[in-house]
Amino acid sequence: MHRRISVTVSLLSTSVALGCATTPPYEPYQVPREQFHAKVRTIGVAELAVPSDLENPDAVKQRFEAMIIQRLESQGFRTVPSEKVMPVWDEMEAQMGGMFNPMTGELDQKKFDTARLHLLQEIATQFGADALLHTTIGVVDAKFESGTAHWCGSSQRMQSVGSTLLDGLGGMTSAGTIKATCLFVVIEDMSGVDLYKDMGGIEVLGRLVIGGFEPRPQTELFIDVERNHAAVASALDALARPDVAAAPR
Amino acid sequence: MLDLRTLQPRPDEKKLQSHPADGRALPRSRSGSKARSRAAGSALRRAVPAGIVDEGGRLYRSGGFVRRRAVFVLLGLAALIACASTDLPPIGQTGRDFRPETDEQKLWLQAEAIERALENEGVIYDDPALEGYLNRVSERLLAGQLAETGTKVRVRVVKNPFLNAFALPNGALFLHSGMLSRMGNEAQLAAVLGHEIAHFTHRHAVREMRLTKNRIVAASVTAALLAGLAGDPQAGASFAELSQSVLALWTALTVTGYSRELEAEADQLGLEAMIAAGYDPNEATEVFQQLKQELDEMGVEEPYYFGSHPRLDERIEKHRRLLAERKAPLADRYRGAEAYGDSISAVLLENAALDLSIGRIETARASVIRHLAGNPESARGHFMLGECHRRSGRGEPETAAAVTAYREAIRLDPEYAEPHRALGMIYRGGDRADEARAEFARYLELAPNAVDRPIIEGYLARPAHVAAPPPP
Repeated sequence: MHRRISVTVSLLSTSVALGCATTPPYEPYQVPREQFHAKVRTIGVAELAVPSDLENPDAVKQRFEAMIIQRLESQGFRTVPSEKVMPVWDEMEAQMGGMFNPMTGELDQKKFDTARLHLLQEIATQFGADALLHTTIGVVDAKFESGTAHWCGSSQRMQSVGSTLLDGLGGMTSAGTIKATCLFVVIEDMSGVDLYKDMGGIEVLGRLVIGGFEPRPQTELFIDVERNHAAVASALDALARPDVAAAPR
Repeated sequence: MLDLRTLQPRPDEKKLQSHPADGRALPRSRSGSKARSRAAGSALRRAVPAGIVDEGGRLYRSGGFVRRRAVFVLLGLAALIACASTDLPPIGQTGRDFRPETDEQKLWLQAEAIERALENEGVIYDDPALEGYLNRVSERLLAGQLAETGTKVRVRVVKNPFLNAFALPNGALFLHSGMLSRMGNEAQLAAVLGHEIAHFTHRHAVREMRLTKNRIVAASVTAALLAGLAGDPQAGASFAELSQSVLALWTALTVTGYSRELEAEADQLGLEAMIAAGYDPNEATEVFQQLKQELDEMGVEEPYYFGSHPRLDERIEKHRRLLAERKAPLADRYRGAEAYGDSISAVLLENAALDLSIGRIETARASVIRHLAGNPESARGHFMLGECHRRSGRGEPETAAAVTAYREAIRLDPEYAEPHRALGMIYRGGDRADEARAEFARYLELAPNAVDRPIIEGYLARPAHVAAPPPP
């Protein structure tokens, strides 16, 4: 009797889930694709933003920027590296006397927005850039279930299949959330209009131990070359120009 | 060995994961110093990444069976008696002072909070003359229906380029500037306002809320009874959460649309109101057709007014049927193209700026051209036309057209600073240093306190290093 009703509940849930399964795929382009590709040939790359407590920020920035530039160029774009873009910003920031109110410490939004638009126009003038790529490594909550974490379009197995099966046989299920890093990218045009937004999960920040998770040491982070490349690919692969063959992984 | 297949993007999850970089922030840190800003990663967008040091996450383990059959069965039975009536008389039907019911009062309070929030966020377009015009049209549609009720409809404009209009439960109506910009005359406005007014007068928010609540109750009863009988501790447990969320649902409903039945009712009532007020009801069909055509041409999927309402074709067809069923003649009725055009002239430019900010250059250009058709001497109109040309990024012909438009703006208003800066930027990028310098100097003369003065002075001090054109 119980089993039959459980099956009924499951079937009801399944039919509801199927009825609602119409979520369209994620569309990273914020403008029509053709418009993007007609407009953008050269992309300036801004410096990667990383979590403020990362112990080796420069190494991570260099590693990711190299991968990002390689991928963009393999997709048929010309690039302007951050070492050229950022000095233009630094100069503008200096000219403006800083972007923050010295009394309150608050960002002066008007100054900031104005300088930012000048930056965009200046990198267009100086380097012929048609767009600017912003990249950020952020920390997000990954959903953990059945031994695997899922976030930002990526997943990472954290428990062996055997262990998950053993738990299942014992009537046990594990679920929860774990912190994970995600690479976010935004490309804007020279007027500050967002053209493209996407993301790629990098890796989880913890490991599964008895009773929960424990943080991984920072020395273990961002060194898995395949995961790093996969995150960059996930964030940028949709950019591939229609006239260029698919980029190799 | 890492299985790359597990790393393939799952688009649905990307959709669910919020993108933190919705702002646009070049190097941002609390200190403002370059050193700290760069060390912190020069967060180029508004998002500041969360710290990497964390507790590691939360893990929940569950297992075995806890039988709470009795609890769920009781919960289900209790829920059975909670259904609320959705048969409510319209406001003004009895002609007396209107008193909202208890749950409706809560909706009204939330509506007032939303109104205040919209005002505080600065998204309300401040134009008393336009508001006066919109309110006169709504009064004409209401024909004194609310005179004795102590309630009133008031219409305001939200700075938003998307096609939407919505009515809060307390009679506050909001039209997006994008909607206003794309309608052609007062009769079309009346069609949209009539529809939204019907949502208010026929109390659709509280009716929809009660319908939703009743549906949730019914679903929860089923789930709770089944779960209780099955001894499943998980199923049915969301009943309390669902009930709690019912009141919160109204906001989404009033902004994104009601059920198909209530939308259809509002369409019919709106149409009747515009006919009674002397408007040409064919314009109701016309407005939907025009907007649909425009959306098709642009390939735009707009999120609200049409997305969640009965499908547009269905609505157009229903309007046609309703009009065909009417016996009374409907010829020579009021359209009010001129009055409407005069009233929204300024909004056209404001909304064009919003369209430009999201990259909808052709939509912006259409609004600017429409504004200039009625105001050929508008310096700001010509400046905005120049912006449309400049931002289209289609090379020399558009740049030349932008220069012409900026020059016209300056001719019409010699004290107008912005076109000089725009011309300076074009000349600077085009390696025409002397002309750039002259325009920048004039800009600073006209706007001595401009925020970007230090940067412009930098441009004046040294010529640009113009990039060589890329190889084809």
